[in-house]
Amino acid sequence: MKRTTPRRITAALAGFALVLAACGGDDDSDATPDPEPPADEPADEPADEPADEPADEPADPPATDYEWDGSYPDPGVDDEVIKLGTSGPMSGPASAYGVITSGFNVCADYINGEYGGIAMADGVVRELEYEVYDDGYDPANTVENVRRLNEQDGVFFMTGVLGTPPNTAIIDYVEDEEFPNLFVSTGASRWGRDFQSGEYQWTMGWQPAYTTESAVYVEYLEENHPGSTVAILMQNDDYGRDYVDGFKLSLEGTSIEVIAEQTYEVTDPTVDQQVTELANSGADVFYNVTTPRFAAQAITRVGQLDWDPIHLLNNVSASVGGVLVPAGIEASTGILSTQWFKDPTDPNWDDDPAMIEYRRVMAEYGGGQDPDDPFTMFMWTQCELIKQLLPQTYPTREHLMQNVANLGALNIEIDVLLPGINVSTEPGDGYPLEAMQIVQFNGEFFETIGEPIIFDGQTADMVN
Amino acid sequence: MERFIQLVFDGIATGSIYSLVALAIVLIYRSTGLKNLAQGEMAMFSAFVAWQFHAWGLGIWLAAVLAIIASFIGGMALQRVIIRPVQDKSLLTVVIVTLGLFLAFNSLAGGIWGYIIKAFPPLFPSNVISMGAVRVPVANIGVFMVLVVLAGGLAMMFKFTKIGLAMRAVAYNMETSKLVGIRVNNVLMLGWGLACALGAAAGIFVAPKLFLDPFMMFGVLIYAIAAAAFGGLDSPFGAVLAGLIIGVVENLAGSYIGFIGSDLKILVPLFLIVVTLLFRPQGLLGHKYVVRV
Repeated sequence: MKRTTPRRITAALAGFALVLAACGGDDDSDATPDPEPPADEPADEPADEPADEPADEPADPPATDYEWDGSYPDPGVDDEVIKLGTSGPMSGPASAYGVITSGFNVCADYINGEYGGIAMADGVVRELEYEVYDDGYDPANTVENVRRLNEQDGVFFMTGVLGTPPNTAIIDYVEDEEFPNLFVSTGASRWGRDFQSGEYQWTMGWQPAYTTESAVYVEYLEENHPGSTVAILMQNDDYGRDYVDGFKLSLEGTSIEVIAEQTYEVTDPTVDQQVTELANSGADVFYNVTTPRFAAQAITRVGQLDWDPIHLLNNVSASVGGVLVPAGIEASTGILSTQWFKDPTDPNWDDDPAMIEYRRVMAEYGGGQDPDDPFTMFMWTQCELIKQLLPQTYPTREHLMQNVANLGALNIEIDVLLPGINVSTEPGDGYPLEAMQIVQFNGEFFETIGEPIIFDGQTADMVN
Repeated sequence: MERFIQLVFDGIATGSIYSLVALAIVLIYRSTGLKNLAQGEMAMFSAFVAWQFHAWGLGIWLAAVLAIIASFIGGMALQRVIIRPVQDKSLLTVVIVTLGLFLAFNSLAGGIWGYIIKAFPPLFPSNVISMGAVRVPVANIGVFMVLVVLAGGLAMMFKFTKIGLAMRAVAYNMETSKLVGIRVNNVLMLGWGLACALGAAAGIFVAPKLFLDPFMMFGVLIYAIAAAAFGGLDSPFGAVLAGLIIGVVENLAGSYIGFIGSDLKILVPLFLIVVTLLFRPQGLLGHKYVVRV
């Protein structure tokens, strides 16, 4: 009988280990995850727009000087319907973000149910249809979904396609096909950079870029803890580097200094060694650029060591239920992060009209969607955007893209964003949202601190 | 110096995790002659089962014991239903089947419990012992003790019990074992059951530290395989020793050897595997087999 020698087996195991190591795990989640925040001033609205638009119903809008000849050169829109599409992880490891993807059905139901559709700039009311596909956060599936949306379903444009790797996989395709991939749900800084440089004109981001978030922390530190030293823990991939590169660029000319840096791979079982090393540096500030499991480990670990830094936790892991509670309330209390929309779990917004309306819509049209899930709110910010953008747009991709590049010139006022945070793009600025507010975990939820820190038009300077 | 000591203690703590999973790999190899690539995922799954029992209101130790028993039974069932039909096929076939189990358990856990991390209730007190600036969590010491006990128990079972002897015989030569009257299939089933129970213990004891999610054991398995290969696939103490060495060396290399840093830490175990294969294929404490031609 054949015997398997230890050498053969060991070789087989080693080969498998190599494969595992090489594959890594795709758990660099990069939609903005949970969030939280706000506090002190409910109800008053960002007051800098001409206040004639109650943001509540699709307004008919001051169209720009675009001349529409009445024809439909693009697929997905006619006199009756506007067809939109999206792709995202409704199953698999990143499925926590899936409510953003599936939420677009809620958005369509709400707009059709409440208003019978959307009146575009020509005054014709069209029903909204969404094609929603699951890609399981696997870029290969995203490519397939996007081809189907373009070649078979023929949708007018896509919104909120989720994740950096999936969008990176389709960016060339949508560019070649001139197929608008709008308001992608990832904070990578490249979308805005490439849009404004003209390199990729058919993909646009939405949430504040990771680099913007880093700049917000730097400004906060410079103001409140000048001269402090920083220790950084970062996931060793594009997402981590985006955050940290932005942080370092923003540091130039400030009194803040990075004195220790550690990276980890998603295959590392723990980050204990890294955090031990960072604690050794004795830095005043710990900048925690990690995905949820590693974030929780790092928080627990800091609590065990003789180190009590100002703890900055990247928004990617700023989830109360998904990170802070598992890591331990005691160790988590006091952690700082950032937010840009009103957190449904923050009781300070309970009486806010925008929050009340949001909860009403979710109760009526939401199906199984949990209104307390910040990702539902994330989707809602995009739904509001579409609801306000389309009435100012003629049914051609040409005019759509013209508007998207000039969001600052339109009437867009999304009342679930934190007061003071506005949507704006213009020539030379491809980032729709460039402001965030510092929030602090108080043991139950994230409370807003101070005012939003705003970098309108400056994000590009913080990107390599 | 304190930094050094801290890193060594941390290394022993992570090394204990690698060793626990490596022990389960060794157990299956020693008792059935197979290596099970799904070992880490099965351990993760068992930890979820324990978590579920606890969520239903049982005390955590009781939940852990029940999960270990359930894993023992589950392991035997798995051997009977999935492994037995292919056990006479080539090495490659069996490896592919365990790879399939790897994916199945991962997806199953994700499907049942989701992908959001869960806090696993600690089995040991959560306080931290301070020796100067060196901090050692009590839980790390607890896991290490569990490891020593399990490795010792395993070694004794193989050495001093009849069933241990039968397992060794079956792993060494199935045909001959049958001829001398060993009920080979029962022994194989028992081997899988024990390995799954051991894996369950590993998963349950490391879950409070790693946080429970379907990818919890993903990285650990790589190190555990390295530990099993490095220490000797058929030697429980070899696996334990190797796991601890890997944990400590990896930490020290990551901190003291500039170009390794935390980027290249993972190369440490892979390097050890290659060196082992080249110079001592049976591993540190493994047995050398001589094949007659």
